[in-house]
Amino acid sequence: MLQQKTIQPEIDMITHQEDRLGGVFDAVKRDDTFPTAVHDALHQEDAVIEVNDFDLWYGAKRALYSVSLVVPRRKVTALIGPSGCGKSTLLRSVNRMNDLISTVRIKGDMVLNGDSIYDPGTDVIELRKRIGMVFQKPNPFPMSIRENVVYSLRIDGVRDRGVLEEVCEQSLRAVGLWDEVHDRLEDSALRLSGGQQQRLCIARAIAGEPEVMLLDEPCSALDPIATQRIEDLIHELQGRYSILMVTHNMQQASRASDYTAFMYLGRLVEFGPTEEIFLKPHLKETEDYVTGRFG
Amino acid sequence: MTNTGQRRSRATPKHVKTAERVARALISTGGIGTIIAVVLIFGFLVSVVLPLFSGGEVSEPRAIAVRGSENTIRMEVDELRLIGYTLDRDGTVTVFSLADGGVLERRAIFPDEKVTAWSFSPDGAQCAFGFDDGTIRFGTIGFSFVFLDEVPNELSALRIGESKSFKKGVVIVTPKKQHRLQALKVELGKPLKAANGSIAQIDYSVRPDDKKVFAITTADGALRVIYESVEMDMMTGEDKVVLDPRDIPYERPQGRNAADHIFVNGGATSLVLIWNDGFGQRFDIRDDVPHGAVEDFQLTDTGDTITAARALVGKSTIMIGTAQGKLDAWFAIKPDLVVYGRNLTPRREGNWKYKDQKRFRRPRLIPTKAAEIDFDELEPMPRDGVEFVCGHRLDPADSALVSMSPSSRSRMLTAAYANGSVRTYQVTTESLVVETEPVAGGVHYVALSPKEDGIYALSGESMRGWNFDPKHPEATFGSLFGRVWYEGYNKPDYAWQSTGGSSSFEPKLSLRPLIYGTIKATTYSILIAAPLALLAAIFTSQFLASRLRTSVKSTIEMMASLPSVVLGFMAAIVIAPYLQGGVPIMLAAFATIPFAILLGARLWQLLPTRKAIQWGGFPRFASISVFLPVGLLLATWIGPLLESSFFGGNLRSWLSDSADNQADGVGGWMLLLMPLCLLVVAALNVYFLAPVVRSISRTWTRKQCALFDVAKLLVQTVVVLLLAWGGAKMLGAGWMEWIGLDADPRGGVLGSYNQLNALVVGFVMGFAIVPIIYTLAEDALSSVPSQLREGSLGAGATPWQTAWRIVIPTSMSGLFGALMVGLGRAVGETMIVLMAAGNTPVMELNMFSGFRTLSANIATELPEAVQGDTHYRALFLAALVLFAMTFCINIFAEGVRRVFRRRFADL
Ligand SMILES: Nc1ncnc2c1ncn2[C@@H]1O[C@H](COP(=O)(O)OP(=O)(O)OP(=O)(O)O)[C@@H](O)[C@H]1O
Ligand SMILES: [Mg+2]
Repeated sequence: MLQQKTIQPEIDMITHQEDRLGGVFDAVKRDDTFPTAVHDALHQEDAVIEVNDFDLWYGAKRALYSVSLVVPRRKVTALIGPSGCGKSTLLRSVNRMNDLISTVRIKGDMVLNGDSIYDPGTDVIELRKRIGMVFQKPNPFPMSIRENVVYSLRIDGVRDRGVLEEVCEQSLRAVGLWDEVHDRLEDSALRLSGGQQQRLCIARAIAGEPEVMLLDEPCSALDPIATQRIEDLIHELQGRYSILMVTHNMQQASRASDYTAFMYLGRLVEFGPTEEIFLKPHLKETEDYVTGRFG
Repeated sequence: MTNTGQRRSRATPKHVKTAERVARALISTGGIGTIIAVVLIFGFLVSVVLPLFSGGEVSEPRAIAVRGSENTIRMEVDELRLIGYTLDRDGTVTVFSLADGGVLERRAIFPDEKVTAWSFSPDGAQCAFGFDDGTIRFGTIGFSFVFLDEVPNELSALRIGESKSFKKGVVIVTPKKQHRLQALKVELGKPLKAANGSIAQIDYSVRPDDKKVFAITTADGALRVIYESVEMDMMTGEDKVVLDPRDIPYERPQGRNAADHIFVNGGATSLVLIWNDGFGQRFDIRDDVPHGAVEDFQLTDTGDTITAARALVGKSTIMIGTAQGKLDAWFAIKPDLVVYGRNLTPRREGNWKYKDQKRFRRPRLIPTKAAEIDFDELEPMPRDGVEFVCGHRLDPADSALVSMSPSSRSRMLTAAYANGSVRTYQVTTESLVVETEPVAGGVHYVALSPKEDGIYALSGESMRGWNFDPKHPEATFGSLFGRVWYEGYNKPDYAWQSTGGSSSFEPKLSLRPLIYGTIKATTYSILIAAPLALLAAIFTSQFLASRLRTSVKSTIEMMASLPSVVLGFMAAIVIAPYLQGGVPIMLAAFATIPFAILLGARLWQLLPTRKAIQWGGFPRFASISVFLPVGLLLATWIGPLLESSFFGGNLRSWLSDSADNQADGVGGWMLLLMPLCLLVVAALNVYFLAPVVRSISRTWTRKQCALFDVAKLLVQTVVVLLLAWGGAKMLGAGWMEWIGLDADPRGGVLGSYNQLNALVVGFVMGFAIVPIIYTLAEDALSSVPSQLREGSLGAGATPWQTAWRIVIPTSMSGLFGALMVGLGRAVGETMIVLMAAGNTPVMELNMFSGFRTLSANIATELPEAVQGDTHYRALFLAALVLFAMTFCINIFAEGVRRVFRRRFADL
């Protein structure tokens, strides 16, 4: 018989480590919220998105515990944390993709450049137009490369060929894809390689001139070389776009981001400049996680 | 190393392997079995159908020692082909055995009289004779049989199936060991005085009221019709035949002798005189008041002369054989060129027909509108509204036709030519069934046996007999799929009418009307089902919350569990009569229901944002059930309004173009133009109005936008109506005529209303195929990878944009497959069309007329078809065509699916 390693319930694991660690586990045990350790550097930043005491439930299961977060303008913010801690949930809450799941309930609000995201009067469609999203798995639409890039213009009813051409070229140049595909823009986007597809998706998001871009593990489905290219790309976009990015890869976070937020079991634990989070975190939990001692 | 520290064998257990093998065997047997079953069914169908196309067969000839001569006026054989008789001009009957030619009996049947005229019915043994003293006699010369009660010694050695000459006949032993004596039976009525002089020609026919009508010409040139009635003699109590002769006021055409042939048609409505130079005249004898000739005609090409003329069974077709070996079939048609003066200047009324129609094998198509008629090409119709035309020309031979013998049970005809060749034709299909080797010494008389299984040709020296099997001469490729000119039809046409009341019935086996009906049923039901099912699938998969989706889906799927016979029954008994009462309402509902729902959607936008979002789920969905009745209510108001303002107050009488409804075609054109105008307005909106609105509406509030949308919908509706009305006015006012088309919308998709019609079938069969299209389409739409949908929604596309731009194109192959499965179901569907399509095999575009489909036809007729005969095999051909249609649909669907699948292969 194959002996199976029993999966420890989260709580057990926490109890086990309790002697070493403090606050977060305590909060988890009490099913309570946890005050985020926010580094001072963030107070100087201009916020593109503000998340204020945001809670989210999937049916009865609570996935976010009073998360408060400020996404700095024209900076790359990385969200790290162990699997299942709610990174994607938080990200998808920003452009209300969670509306598609009928069981989701929320409390609290987010603000995008001064406009409430969860106000009942907010038009979700208009909101999403202001936010670009790139998914974990490249999802080019089954149409030509050109049509993929200008999709957001198409749905806005733009017909002017000149505008379309220009946006297409600029967006593709921005993601460094122009030289590779400029002579086959009419080809199906599905024929590109995985890395190219993901860059195409980023170009598609850029073409919509978003106020903020959400990237959910953009490299996890790619090989190391393609990953490297995307990371370089994110690096290049830094300073021009506000980016909120989920990643599992510590190195990626440390290389590509300006700020890093550490999430754990639905709580935002610590949020600060990437260097500080990786080199001198305020909390021991963060340190353990970034040094790979648990997670 | 293992986790437990023990050595662990990783061999697959035996039972798993066995299960694997069994499953594989089962699956492959099932798959191969299915393929084999389909191939076997196909093979079976083909094997039943193929004999339809094999030609007739004839054996080597057999010589029989019987002599004929120029004087032979009649020869016939019995149905068992045991004996035959010849009748000579002097009244001598000779009965002979067909086995050896031995004479069984010879006698004179008119010992004291001189026969001068004779007529033999093609339908049986009845005949009429005329004599030189002006008398006529009616009678039968035919075969009869008796079963011998006591078997004489000389016959006791006979075994089953053997025959032997006995007394005046031939005895055959039946399979039940009875001795059956076959002999000639002659029965002649009393001589009746019909004229004073010698009788030159005689023919007779029987009226529907069973009175006989004789027609004679006399040597002194009179043409006389004699109505026979039977009265009871008061004194003796016997039946007494009373003749009522009427002379036809008739002057023989200049320079002509007495006519050479006389025919009274079946039913005795007209009389035809024919001279051997090809000239003919027709008389109307429907009523007892005689009239002069109603038409003259030339039956032969110039320079040719008639050598033989016989009527086919039913006596409506006259076969004319000529010295040049031509053989034509002539019959009367009712040309339907009826011209009323309504649109004509000067006004012309009455019945007209084309001149020179007679020798056209293909008559002119008759214009549907009087305005297209050139009156120089017309002449008035004969007073009985009937015209005699040449309907068929059979394959000509290169020698003079001598003798003809029509079959008594079908439209076959055996003809003998001067060079001794004997041919058997099928007249309807104009096919030459068989041709025998020429008989040396020429043929005097030819006979086709009553069961069409033998051909006998009498020459000066001997008689030849052939065993004959015509196979299926009524079915040729042309008659099964093409136009055929049937007796009495105006023109060659597609027709299916496989069985009829009388022996003279002409089977009509064209599959075209059935194929047409199948396509019509399929088209109308797909037209109704496809939009409903696809829109429902898009709605549930893209716009409904998943909880609501499953319940809606299973509800729609439950529709599929209604047996189609119930649906058909509902259609015929409930829906059809109901719709009949409200055709205008129904037509209006096609427009008002979508309008009401659109209006509802627009009004919904007027709700305050908060409420709109709060009620976005079920309440919004439920609000449809409010606007649907509103649409219906609107229809009950608009329908009658339209009817009274455009269709003279009665749509159905307008549709059937009845004389008391004077409304013009504008309303009809409006109906037809409406969808087109809708498309035009929608396109204008998308391409011109929408960009402008988008740029100016940026500053508007939500409420302003919503109000604008409501106003836009109303304005658009008015514009569509006005466009349709304007277009209809223009088309009605001569535009269509100007481009050479019909100015009246009737005659195409609009036409007379039948209770059971294509629209009813469309509704009900649509209802039957909605669930299957819906389910498959829903599955296809739901199986589009969610990351695509999320990608599009995440980019700020509306659910509708996402559906239209991403989900639908991606699931195209599945949607197409769903449609094709629906199509396949509709093509093969039987019960609904059987009960709700009226089952009349007509070919009309008209959405208000019925039809008959291949499947319904097979279901109705196969049970009563005789196994192995032409009708039976034609039904199998119908099945084969149906099979081929569904097969083609599936192949096509698979091809298209493959194209789509290849396009999205990398997803
Ligand atoms: N649609 C859903 N319905 C119910 N629970 C969900 C749903 N999606 C996510 N969850 C739960 O919410 C929690 C957070 O999930 P989330 O996907 O946000 O994690 P994550 O941090 O993105 O993990 P990973 O790194 O593995 O992507 C998990 O416990 C998950 O099981
Ligand atoms: Mg995730």
